[in-house]
Amino acid sequence: MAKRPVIEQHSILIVEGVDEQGVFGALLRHLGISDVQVVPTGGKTSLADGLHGLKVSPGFDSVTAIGVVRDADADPEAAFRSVCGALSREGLPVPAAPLVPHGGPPKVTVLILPSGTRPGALEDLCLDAVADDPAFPCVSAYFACLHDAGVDGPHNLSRARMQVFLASRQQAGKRLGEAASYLPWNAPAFDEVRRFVQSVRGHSPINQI
Amino acid sequence: MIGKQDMVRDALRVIEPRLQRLAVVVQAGMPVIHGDLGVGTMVALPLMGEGMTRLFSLVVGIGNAPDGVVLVDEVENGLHHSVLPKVWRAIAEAARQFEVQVFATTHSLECIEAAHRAFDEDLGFECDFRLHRLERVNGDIVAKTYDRDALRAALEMGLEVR
Repeated sequence: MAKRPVIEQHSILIVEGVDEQGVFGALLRHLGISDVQVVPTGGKTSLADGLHGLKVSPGFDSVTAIGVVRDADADPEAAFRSVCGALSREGLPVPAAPLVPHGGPPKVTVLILPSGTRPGALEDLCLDAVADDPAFPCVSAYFACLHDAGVDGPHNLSRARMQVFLASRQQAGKRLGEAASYLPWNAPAFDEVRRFVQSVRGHSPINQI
Repeated sequence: MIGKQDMVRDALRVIEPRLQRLAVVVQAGMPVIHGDLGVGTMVALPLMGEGMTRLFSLVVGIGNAPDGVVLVDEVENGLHHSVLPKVWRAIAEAARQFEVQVFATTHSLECIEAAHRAFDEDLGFECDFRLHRLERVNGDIVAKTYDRDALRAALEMGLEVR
């Protein structure tokens, strides 16, 4: 039976699924950060339930900083309120706004993707980051071609565009979380995410940057 | 436990569905519980496997402590993992009938998962299940209590719960 993970770091990033786990894991490696643990709530478990289970998990009492990452989906403000509600129900510090750390320990910071002000998800942020890649016009042309051919577009266009972009890499066919090493971490689109991660680690309070 | 033989038999059927009745047979001056499996002769309970004697002792132990408390160490010992959810349901049913609170210890993730599966579905009666995980924090041992939702989330997230 596979060993189940325990909380081993004082700083944790709570993310939604395996793609987010892969992307943030890759970012942490890029930044040389090994003392922040990424904890996915998984596809079936909501953030509220995930926090409920995490709070009694081994090692949680030693956690001093929590970063919560959530997709904005259709409404970034509603997404933030939802995170705050889940934090409040578990008696954890509730930040006043995304990217503003609050309380502690554990200090809690919330990141809404792709940003705290626009709808979307992780894929939208990643698409922003690869917008200058030579393959990107080909991705756009592919979907334009589909449109011109009368093919119904995918339900989640951002996810599809990201998958097509990843299909242009040497090792195609991987999910975003598995192919995160292809992402240009120094792109300006990732500035906010990099600062968020470093803030959770405790290096530089994000509200002073 | 007088008059509760059918309840004990039903509980044991979790492991041995062929069991039709129980009886005490004296062998060499010693009373031994036997079971009728429909094979033409009564079979001593210990010969039906360790799980049968384990479940028998659990159910009888609960039956002998009406309105009380039963403490079970390493509850899964002797029981095959595949029957654990049914064993938990049998324990819950016996506990309900005799108004007993059961405290069971385990180091087994399978046993915890089985308990969650058993108690997460409708048993037909109220069953208040909690998992208390003991953890050493700053030199003290503290209990972390999982209600049904917390345990479900922790198991779904693949987190350690022991």
